[in-house]
Amino acid sequence: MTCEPVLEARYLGRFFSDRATQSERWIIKGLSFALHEGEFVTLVGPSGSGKSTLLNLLAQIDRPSAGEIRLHGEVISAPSRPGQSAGANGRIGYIMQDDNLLPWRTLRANVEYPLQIQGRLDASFRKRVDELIAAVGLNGFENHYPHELSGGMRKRASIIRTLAYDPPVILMDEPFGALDAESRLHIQEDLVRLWELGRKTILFVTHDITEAIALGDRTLTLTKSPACIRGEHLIDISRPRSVDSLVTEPNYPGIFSRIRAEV
Amino acid sequence: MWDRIIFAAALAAVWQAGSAWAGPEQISSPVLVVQQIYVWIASGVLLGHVGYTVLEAALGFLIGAVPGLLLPLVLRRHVFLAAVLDPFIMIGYGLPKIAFIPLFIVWFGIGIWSKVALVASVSFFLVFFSTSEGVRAVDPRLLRMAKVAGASEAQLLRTIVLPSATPFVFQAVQIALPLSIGGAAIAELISSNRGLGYLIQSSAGNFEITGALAAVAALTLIVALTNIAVAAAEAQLLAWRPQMTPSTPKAA
Repeated sequence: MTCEPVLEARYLGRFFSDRATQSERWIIKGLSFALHEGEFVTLVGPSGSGKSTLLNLLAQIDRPSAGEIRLHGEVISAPSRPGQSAGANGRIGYIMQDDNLLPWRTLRANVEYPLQIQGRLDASFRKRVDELIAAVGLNGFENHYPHELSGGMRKRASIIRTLAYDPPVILMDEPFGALDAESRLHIQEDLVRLWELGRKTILFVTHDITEAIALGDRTLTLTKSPACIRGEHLIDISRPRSVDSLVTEPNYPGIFSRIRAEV
Repeated sequence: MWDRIIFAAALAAVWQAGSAWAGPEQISSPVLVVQQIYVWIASGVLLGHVGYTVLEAALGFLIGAVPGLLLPLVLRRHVFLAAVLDPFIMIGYGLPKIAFIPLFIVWFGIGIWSKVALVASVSFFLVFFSTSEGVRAVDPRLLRMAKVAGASEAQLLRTIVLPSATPFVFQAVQIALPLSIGGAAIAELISSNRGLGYLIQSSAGNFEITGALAAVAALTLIVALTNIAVAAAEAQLLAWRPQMTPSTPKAA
């Protein structure tokens, strides 16, 4: 692609000071990649390879020690740049490992939370919330509190909470790790369906290679510490893909073993 | 339910029998106490004293509890100030406030304000400590989610910190409100010309055991009603919690 990337990391680095040895321990170093408009990119790395550190940097919760992050060409984060704002003023959504629903709000009030915070909750967004709730099969549960919902339902709610306010970029950090195989499969299909409707730019981090292949247009792999991009794999399996019967695709074994060799 | 009513009836019967044996001028009797309360209600005496004590307790509780609730929210983002204040607040918490009643009287007079000062000093520290604990126990993952959604510090406080600290605030209110009423009455015992504490003191001073016990009974009744009101408010405000039976939140 020749057009300008939506989100771009250039020579990104992050170190933490090791008090015992008085040295700098680099978790991420020299990491560069770009996400283009409407792409679904998956990122696979060994555990402890700094995936969450990377997402925290991209989500503007943490500040890099080196390099820069650009959103639509504008530098939003660099070591010396003051005044970055978490979530880049609602332009970068971040779906974390835990659903992080507010236990004192009903499902509907949870989904509306970011819109309310941003002062954008009007009739058209309320309608959008209704549609999203219906799209993931949560209608009828709008007035339930989180503890009254199953893990899969809570996860769906946390995904549509981010989709509701429509950030151009969405980061996802192993969001389905805690789910059982059955609800995981359903929710993966829900996610792809929602993505195909809205064509957000998504960076999805996982340690599950099959999941990375099932969901992504491209899969990036990470090196072990300090992390940088090791390889890039185009997933040439046509959509719509059935996550369930992915293993029967002729291209699947080749892609899987190439990724497997790198992580 | 019935077992408790039977037990209460048995206690009252023992008291009544004891009074017949020892003479009502020493230990009074349930019947005499109820009669006394009825006479006071009919004459309007009781209402005046109850109102005065409740007013002291309510004013003192508000003056103490509101800053006790707000200060931890402000200190959340001022770590240095919190560290400076911490030892002073610890000392303040540990001080026996009742020992200060004579000083409060010197500073604020024998009227309502010395009692309000005592109640406020008791309420403030209880609410401050419990709320601080609640503020510290806020799940950092919820805060992170809210920040990414674009929440300002004021929005974080209102939508994340305060709701998650609410069970802790209730824990403090459950202790502080009855203590406020009791504290107001204790301050009245020392120097006052109105209120339930004054009623207890003046009755006992005249060897009117029935009057003193009737005032104590009225005080107990007010505390019990307050506890019921707090429990009802808690059930309303914390309806989102999985189950209501353990009303004390687990500290993280």
